[in-house]
Amino acid sequence: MEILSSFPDQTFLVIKVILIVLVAFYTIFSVVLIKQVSLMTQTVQMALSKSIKAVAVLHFFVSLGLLIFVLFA
Amino acid sequence: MMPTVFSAKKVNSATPAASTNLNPSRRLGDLEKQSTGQLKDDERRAINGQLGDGDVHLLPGHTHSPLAAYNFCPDKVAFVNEDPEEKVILLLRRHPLTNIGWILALFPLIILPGFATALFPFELLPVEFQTVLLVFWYLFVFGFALQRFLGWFFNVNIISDERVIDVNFVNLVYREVTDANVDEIQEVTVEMGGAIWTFFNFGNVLVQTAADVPRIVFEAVPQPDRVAKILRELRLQEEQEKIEGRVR
Repeated sequence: MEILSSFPDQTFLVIKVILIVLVAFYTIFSVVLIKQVSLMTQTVQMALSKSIKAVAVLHFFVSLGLLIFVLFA
Repeated sequence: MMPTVFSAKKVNSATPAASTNLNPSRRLGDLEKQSTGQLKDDERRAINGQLGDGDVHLLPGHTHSPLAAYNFCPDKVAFVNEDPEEKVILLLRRHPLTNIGWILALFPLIILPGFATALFPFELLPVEFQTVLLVFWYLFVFGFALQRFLGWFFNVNIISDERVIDVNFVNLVYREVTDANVDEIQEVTVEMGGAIWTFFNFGNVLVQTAADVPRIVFEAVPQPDRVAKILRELRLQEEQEKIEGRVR
């Protein structure tokens, strides 16, 4: 009985850990993406370069926000 | 008709950059000639650096669109290791149609969460987890699209008055910049195959060089015949400069 009653909580904990790991990896990816955009804009400077940098930074902050949310969810 | 012919002759005879204002009445004729793939005198003079910055705005192929795949004498383009006196003649990237595959792949990815509830009982999860999953999914889709867009946008080919440059970003943090001097170009081959490539006028331009990198490939670029003609014009100009002893 004890095992059955504690099972859902453990399942949610496992799901939460999986989500944290997924979002953490994605946040790392978004940091790498900023680095990539920086490298690209250094190599070729074009009219849209600043906007693309801004999008990459925004993408990182959304990922970071999601990571913080899932940590405290 | 008469004034058009007259003004064309007038522009052709002028040489200094300051006196080369293009007559707007010639623009229609220019666009008609563009389909033949022949370079016009104004384009030749732009390649040779004899046209002023304001005049190139009327030339066919010149655009202010930052997403253009073919931009003749682009305004705001600079690249790594560019010489101060070097001038970008042509900016090329793959034809926009080459993006159709990943753009079409986005649609099922966008609507997938709507069908996912039929496959997995998401309603059993707490609302916070459902929200995180949904936001994460769309962030992932956005990241995928951004990655593909960056791959298209920054993998460019640049033709300057001195060099041919191929910029390749192979993966996230690896870049490959290949360049060859115009006078090292030995052969230029245009490859166009298939109905779509022919219909939308894009193809590969293979530049055989005497440099360390023997071949530079411009993949799926628009108007490959014109690109080949511009390269030929640049080679002729370079030979002329050598004869006249004006090589930089």
